[in-house]
Amino acid sequence: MAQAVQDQESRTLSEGEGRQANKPGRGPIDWLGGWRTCLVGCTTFILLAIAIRIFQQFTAWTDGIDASSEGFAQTYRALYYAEVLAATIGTLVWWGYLVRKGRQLVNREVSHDEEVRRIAVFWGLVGTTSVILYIMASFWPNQDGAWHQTAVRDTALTPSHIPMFYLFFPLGITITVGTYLYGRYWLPKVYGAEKGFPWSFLFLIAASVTEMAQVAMNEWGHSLWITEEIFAVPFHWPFVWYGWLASGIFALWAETAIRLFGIEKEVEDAAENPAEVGTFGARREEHEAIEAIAS
Amino acid sequence: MRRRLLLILVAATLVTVVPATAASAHGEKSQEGFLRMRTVGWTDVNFTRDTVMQGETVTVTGTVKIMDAWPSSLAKGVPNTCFMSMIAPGPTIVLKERTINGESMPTRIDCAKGRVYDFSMTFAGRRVGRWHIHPAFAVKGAGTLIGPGAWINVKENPAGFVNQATLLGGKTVNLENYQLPFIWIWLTLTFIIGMVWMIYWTVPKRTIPHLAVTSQIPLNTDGAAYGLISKKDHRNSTIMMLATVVLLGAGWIYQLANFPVKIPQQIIQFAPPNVERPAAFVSLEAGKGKAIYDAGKKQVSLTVTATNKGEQPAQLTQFAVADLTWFNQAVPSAKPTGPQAVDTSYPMTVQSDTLAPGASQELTLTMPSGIWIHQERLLPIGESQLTVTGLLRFQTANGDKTDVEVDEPLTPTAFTT
Amino acid sequence: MAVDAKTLELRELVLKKYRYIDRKWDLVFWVTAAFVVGAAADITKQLFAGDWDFWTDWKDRQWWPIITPFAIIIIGSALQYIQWLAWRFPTGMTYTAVAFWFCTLVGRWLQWGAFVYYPMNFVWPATMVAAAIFADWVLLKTRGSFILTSIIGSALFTIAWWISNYIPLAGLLQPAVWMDRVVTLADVQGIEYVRSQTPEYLRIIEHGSLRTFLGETQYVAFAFGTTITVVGYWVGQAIARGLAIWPIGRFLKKW
Repeated sequence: MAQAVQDQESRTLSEGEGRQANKPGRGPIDWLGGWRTCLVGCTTFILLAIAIRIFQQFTAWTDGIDASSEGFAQTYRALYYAEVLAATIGTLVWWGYLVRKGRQLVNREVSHDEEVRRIAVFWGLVGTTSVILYIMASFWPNQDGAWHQTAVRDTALTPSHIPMFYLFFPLGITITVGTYLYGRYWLPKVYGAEKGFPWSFLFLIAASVTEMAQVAMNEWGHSLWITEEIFAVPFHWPFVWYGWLASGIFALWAETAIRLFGIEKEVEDAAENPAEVGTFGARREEHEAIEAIAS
Repeated sequence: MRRRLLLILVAATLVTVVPATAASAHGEKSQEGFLRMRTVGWTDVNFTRDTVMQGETVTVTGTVKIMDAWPSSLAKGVPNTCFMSMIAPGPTIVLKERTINGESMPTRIDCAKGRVYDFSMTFAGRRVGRWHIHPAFAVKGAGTLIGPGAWINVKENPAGFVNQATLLGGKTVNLENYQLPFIWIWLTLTFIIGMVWMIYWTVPKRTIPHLAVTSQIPLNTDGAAYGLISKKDHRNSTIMMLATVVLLGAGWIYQLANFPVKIPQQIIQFAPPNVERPAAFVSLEAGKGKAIYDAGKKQVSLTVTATNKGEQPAQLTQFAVADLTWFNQAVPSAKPTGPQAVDTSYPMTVQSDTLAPGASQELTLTMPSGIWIHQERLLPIGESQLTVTGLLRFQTANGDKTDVEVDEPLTPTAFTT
Repeated sequence: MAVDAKTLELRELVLKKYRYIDRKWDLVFWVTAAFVVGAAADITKQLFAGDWDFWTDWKDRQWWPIITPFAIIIIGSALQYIQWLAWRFPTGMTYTAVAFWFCTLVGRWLQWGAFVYYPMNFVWPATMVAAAIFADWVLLKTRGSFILTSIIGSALFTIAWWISNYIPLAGLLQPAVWMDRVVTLADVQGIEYVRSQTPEYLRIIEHGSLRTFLGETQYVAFAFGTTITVVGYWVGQAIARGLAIWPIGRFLKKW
């Protein structure tokens, strides 16, 4: 009876392995397997930014320039409401899913293949975070500088602010917290709750939250002090300082890479012939370099 | 996540297909009333035409006064550095000439409260389209103050658009693309050497597996003993570094040879010459004026007590406030002409609009509040400075004119619109 | 010379075969990290030194060579520490420079060019790639001495940065005539391609109000620029050590 239960458990626990991983090309480290999240996540947000950028190309200088006009209400104000609504609903749905599903599977043992797959998915989420940080810290700010130095600032809702401050800045919070939730439940050996809250995530999430808070201060300050537009003013510097907190992202790669090495060691230790476990070796030049110093 | 993306794309698509009216303003309607009224006053603004081909020019002239009522909350109450330019949705136009009180003005000027400046700006159409263009007067510490705007149509020039600039030696260059091919090539070359360096290090060697080794050795060692970095790597890196030196050397020689004479960027700051203006022949009695917003009658009225110090009857013809010109509807010639007048001039009623020589009397201007509040968003009800400020123009039969500043408290009968 | 067991073990480790760690991990790391690295460098540059980078008429010889290298060395320095520590790759500065090159080119061309229509010869971005090569080379030759790299590397970085960006600027510093005044072509660009919300008095460039040491302003700016860049280098080191590396494996127990 106990054995049957154990067999049943091991059959149902390897999520990625079940239906997907048996298909060729869908393994834990295949592009359409563990790495699919990376491909889908990164391209989704790049395409979203491009789509909005295309929309702006046709509307910004006609309807976007006067927040008091009817055209603005029909385009950018509508986009603003759509973004805030969609981002809020999407965030709550995704986080809710991560917590609900995560609680179900966090305490189950998983196979090495499955854990590696999850680390690849995690790297995909971290990669998506990186892309979202790029869109919020470089892609839109370049446009914001171009806009504000050529158009009179009328309200906090400008064509450049709307996708930047009110979509991608909140998405920064969505993805950093979501990535943490994934790590906490799907990679308990690295980020399990019993270890405490990871400093790496604390910095990374703090970066996205403080950036969002800085938006409010920025708009308040622009209404109070700044009537002229240059970019490199002390008033803008908190955006940079908070952005530096995102350096915590490197710790995420390191922490999970360390676990990867741990998994490799466990696989070796469990194998009958450890030397034959690995198939991915060093490059030719690395062999030559070591042969050169050995001789 | 996919669902969210779909939602956003659907919303975005919907708003793109809904026809939208073009904006006619430039953001000035979001500025507070006091910022638009109490800072600078614009009079006699005129655009020479409203349709040009790319490369053809339009000249806008006018007079701008830094008001005596300049707010103490801006530029610490003492404007001293100013600039004039054109407001446009990006460089849809290029500014070819600019004068202030007759003198050419490349960069910034010294300025002062109460000073009056005659300006002239000539710009050429650059980008095909219909653009709302304004003259603007900027004051350091206050920002850019927007004058009356006009719709300018820029038509395509079959010969294309060229923006000629003249070097000191007489050679002309097209500023649209001068040196651009070289800049692209140069930036690309520097990028290539960077990619070569990166590919050299990251392709022949693994990355992640190195962590297992580096975590066990001191920071200040290159790991040569363990095969992390070899003598060959040192040599090749030095070669790449020297190649970079050669590239920079070649570039340096190129610029020295092609551009032997260079000067630093210039700042030419000066105080524009004073223009002699005839003394004002009308004055207003201080403390005797008031502005009223009558919410019931939907009117804004401005009452002043004016004295005609001249020898001719003086008639009130215009009231210039912010970027608008209210004109006395009883005086046909008072209506501004020119492309900028379309959106920025409105008729008003003036009671007892003419002052006899030597006489002192009350004048009342009455304007519809709908324009002040809804259309122009200028009436400062709900703001922290309840005043109406502008320039009253008085004219005589033989064409003499004088502009008198008016700055009166505003009393609304109600704060409803 | 006899080689100890530890050395042999580490050499084996360099060549070790893994079951799961293939080259895709490397590729995903290098490509996905480039986004956040380039963006971090870009936002730091934009908000510390952006205006000098956006316009040719701001690229002067007093402020531009001081402020910009300081701003752009910060993230590159952080990446130097991370990549040397983790992989013994002297690539952090160049990696940042290449990622940053993409970010600024995309941003400048797509937004300043295609969105607002400034001509690219007016708003082209400075490049830090050539300067980065020198900084990485110094790190390699000093075998990972961050102190020496911060001094020698920063100095070479500043000078190489200025040379590599003065070359494309030179043609625009030729004297030109605008109305009846002699200005540079860069000034003409600034006058003619209107920037509605950026009055010219905001331009912070050499105004001739400093004593110019017999016209040697440029060299004084270099000297100061180099020292400021050293400070920027150590700001980057603090970011890497404190915010990227220190948190690894650390958890907050009470929160």
